[in-house]
Parts: sequence; structure tokens; C-alpha cells
Amino acid sequence: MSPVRRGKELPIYNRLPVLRAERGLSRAALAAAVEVNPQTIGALERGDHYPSLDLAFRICAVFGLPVEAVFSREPFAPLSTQVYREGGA
Amino acid sequence: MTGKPGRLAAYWERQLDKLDEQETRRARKLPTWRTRRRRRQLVAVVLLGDLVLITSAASFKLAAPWFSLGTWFGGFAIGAVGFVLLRILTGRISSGFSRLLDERERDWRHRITFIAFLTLSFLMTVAMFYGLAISPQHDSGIRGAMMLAALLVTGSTVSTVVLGWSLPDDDPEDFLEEGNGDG
Repeated sequence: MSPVRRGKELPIYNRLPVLRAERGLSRAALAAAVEVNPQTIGALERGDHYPSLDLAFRICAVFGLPVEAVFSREPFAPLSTQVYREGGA
Repeated sequence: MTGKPGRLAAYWERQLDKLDEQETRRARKLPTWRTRRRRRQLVAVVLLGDLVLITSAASFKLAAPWFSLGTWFGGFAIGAVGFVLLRILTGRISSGFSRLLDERERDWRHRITFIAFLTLSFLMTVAMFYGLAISPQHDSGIRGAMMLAALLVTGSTVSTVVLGWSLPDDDPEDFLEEGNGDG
């Protein structure tokens, strides 16, 4: 299957906007930290570009999180919902 | 012997740094023109220039030589202005060294250069058949050369034209220096 078709049928979701907002990081600051163009961070957030494994690891290293906490095949539930459910359970 | 590759590598690194700075400066030029609409208008200007080039090369026999040469260079000038502006607006994807690009930019570069390569190959085939078709005529040399040059110029603009047409609008948030959280 071509990457374009796979991207449509098997999208990769990410939590970059939420994680950036939590840490007060601009796209430009995150881009500088992982050595890419700020527009590439924007494209990742919009789902216009899927990261290589190398870039995914570099992004996860900035946030100190495992890959599955930042990227997923399934849409992420809002962080607040997840924290409340886990904390309240 | 051992110092030579080191000096060369250092020189090359300095050149790359200079090019990177140049691209960064260029990325801030024409800020109000950095929209898909404006880029598509410039694509039309470049294609118009290409069309004038090809038409004047094809009609060389019909008009006076000075007129054909004048329109040929006129088309070249129109295309060149649009092309230079488009290169500024499409940034390092169209003009930077591959080593200075990140993975998304390299993806774009690969896509557009493949399209441009196929188009240029097709246009060179057209030029070859045109040359063969006019070869019995006495002025086939200059006419073939003009058509070859017109198609070569057209083919070499394809990558920038495709990029200018397809790149999305810039997102202003990409260029904000401040984060939106409390940090």
C-alpha cells in the first residue's frame, strides 16, 4: 500500500498541540529542539505529515514521554478526561 | 594529505552555514505574498513566459527573425521574473541544498523533482522530434536550437511551478516565537 493511501486509512494521531501548550512551547521552539523547520511541526499537528521514527523519538525525548504517549493509531481522548478517569477510578 | 579533507569539509560546512543563513533571510522576504493565491498567480506568470517562449520558437518561420527573437527573450524575461519570485516564496524546498532540508521538506523535494524529471524527459523527446521534423529546412539549426532552449527552460521551471501550485498557505502560528502556555 502506498504511504499516501496508508495515511488515509491508517492515520497517525498525536498530542503535540496539548503537550506544547502544557510546557509553553511554541512550534518554533519545539522545531529548534528537534532540528526541523517550524512548518514541519505545524504539518505534524495538522496530520499533513507523519514523522519518521527518528523524528518521533526526538520529539518524545523533548517531552520526556514514551512514543505511545505522543503518537497513536487511535484518536486521543482529551488529557483532562483521561487524568480524571484514572485519578477517580 | 590528512589535513586536506578536514579543510575541505570545514570549508563546505561554512558554505552550508552561509546558504542556511541566506535561506533564513529569504524566508522573511515578501511576507504579504506568502499565500497560496499569490503563488498560484506567479505560477500563471511563469507558465505564460514559457508559452511565449515556445510559441515564438515555433513561429520563427512565420515572422521576421528579429520579432521572433524579441518575443523569445520577452517570454524569457517574463518567466524569469515570475520564477525568481516563486523561488523566494517556495523557500528552501525549491532552492536549498538537500542537506539543509528536514524530512518533510525532503519528501516534497523528492516528489516535485520526480515530476519535473518526467516532464523534462517528455519535453526533450518533443524537442528531438521537432528537430527531426524541421531538419530538411535550411534554417533548421536556429529553429531547433530555439525550440530546444524554450523546452529546456520550460522543463526546468516545472519543479518550482508544481511546488508553488501545491504548497499550502503558511500557518502564522508556525512563526510565533512565544508559546501559548505559562511555561
